Amino acid sequence: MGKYPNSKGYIKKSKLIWHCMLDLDEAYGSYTIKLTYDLNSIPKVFVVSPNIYELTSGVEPPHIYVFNQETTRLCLYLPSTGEWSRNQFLGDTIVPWASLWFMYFSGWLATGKWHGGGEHPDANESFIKGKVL
Amino acid sequence: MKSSIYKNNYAALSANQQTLFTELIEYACQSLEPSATKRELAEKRYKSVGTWLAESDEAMFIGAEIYPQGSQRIGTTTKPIFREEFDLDFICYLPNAVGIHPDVCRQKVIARIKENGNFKDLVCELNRGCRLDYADEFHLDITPGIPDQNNADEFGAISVPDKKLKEWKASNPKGYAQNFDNKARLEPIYIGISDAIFGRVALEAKNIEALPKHAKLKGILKRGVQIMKRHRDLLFYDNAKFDGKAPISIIITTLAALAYEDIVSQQRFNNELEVLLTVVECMPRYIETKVVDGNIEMWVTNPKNSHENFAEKWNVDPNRIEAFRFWHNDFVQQLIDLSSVASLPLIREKLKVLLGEQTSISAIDKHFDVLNEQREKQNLFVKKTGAISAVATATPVRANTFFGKRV
Repeated sequence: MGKYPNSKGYIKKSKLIWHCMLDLDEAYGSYTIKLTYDLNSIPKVFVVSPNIYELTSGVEPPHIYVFNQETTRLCLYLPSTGEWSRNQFLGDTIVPWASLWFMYFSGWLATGKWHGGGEHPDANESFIKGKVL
Repeated sequence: MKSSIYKNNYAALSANQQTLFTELIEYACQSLEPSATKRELAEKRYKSVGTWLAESDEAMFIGAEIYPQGSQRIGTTTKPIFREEFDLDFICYLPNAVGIHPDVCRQKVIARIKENGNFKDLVCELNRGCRLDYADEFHLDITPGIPDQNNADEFGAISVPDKKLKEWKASNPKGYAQNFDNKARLEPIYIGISDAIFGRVALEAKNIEALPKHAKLKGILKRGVQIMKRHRDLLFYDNAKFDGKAPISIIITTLAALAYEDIVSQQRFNNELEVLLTVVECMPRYIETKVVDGNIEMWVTNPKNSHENFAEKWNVDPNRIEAFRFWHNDFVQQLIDLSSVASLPLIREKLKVLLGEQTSISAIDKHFDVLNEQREKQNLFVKKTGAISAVATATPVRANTFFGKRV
């Protein structure tokens, strides 16, 4: 995690809580994420700022686990496929994927399309912005 | 002259942002052109019309040949707004039709094309020739031409029917295209890069910082002309005040080419964007004023025929001059507006005004296609800041699949 100077973390009750600012190129913006991780669960990535819910006026972007005014949690990888496993460093996997997510998020805001691909629990659902799922 | 649009608005932007704008303009232009498949199809079709004409038993068709003219010949075609068909222009050159009245010539060409069952239902008459209308694909507009009757005495010169079909007038689409191509081929010199020939390569190396594969403009002059024509089409669509008065393509193309030729020989540039913006800013300077028969006239002179004024109509209809100024001012303003935004969603909004809804989306789609190519090859890296880059750092972006919804 030391790869990212704009970040800090601590461990509370054996749970890692880590904040990181991702300063992408101007076109894609800057974001602060919070990553939580403990030995009993998979890593979870939340967007702390900006408030994504407010940014999209409540329209849900693709590849989100939790989306409301208080919480935006991102889905960054396919579970149980080995894309992520406990022996991988979060800084090598989860963080770059979050940056990628934000790039595609910008594209989605710009065009209504998700250019990043991915899978979805219900393959028939559409990623077109504004569509009520 | 220096471009104040560039200096005041673009010069201070980061290299990444400048590259992004350049890239998006390139991708937008790609989406405005006919696809390779469409181009091949058009070629096949116009050649088969040519063969059909040449196979006629009539003497005037001996040696008939069809060749492209206009924007498709010089590579500045743009898709029309709100319809699918591209307009592609051709000359039907008839070396043995000398001495025939232009209107008779035109009618005979139409009659011969209609004799063929494949073409019969596609043909409609045009002022100077005829059109083959391939729905959802293209319009092939064919104008007859005969050997030069106007003593033009130069490469490519032919004669074509005038608008009233009363006589043959001088034309030279091949010569014009050659002149344009010669100008378009001139390479600008970039600051800090001494050799113009390697300028492009060096420029790419210099900008290597930015995102994947630096698709540079495929010809600054051509891309410039394309975006200008596109913006013109959008601006004048449904404009009652200037109905039918929009600056014609040949005026935009000629002025841009003159400006480009001049500036690349006179100054050095920071990047392609600066070249493009300088062309846009300078081009009105190449409108000439001439005194003809005691009257002051505005001229955009045909570079291959000093007697032909592409802006002829400006001198009888001042609204057309106003329309040109209106277009040019608006175009400059849109380019300034574009520089004022940084985020992709806002860039897309500005591009929409400049180049249209679908074109702006296509440009951004292509931008992500290029990113995704690099992602698939696992050529993306993360910088310490969290920014994604194609420049190798310690942290490659590993393969992932975005997943899921709420659990």
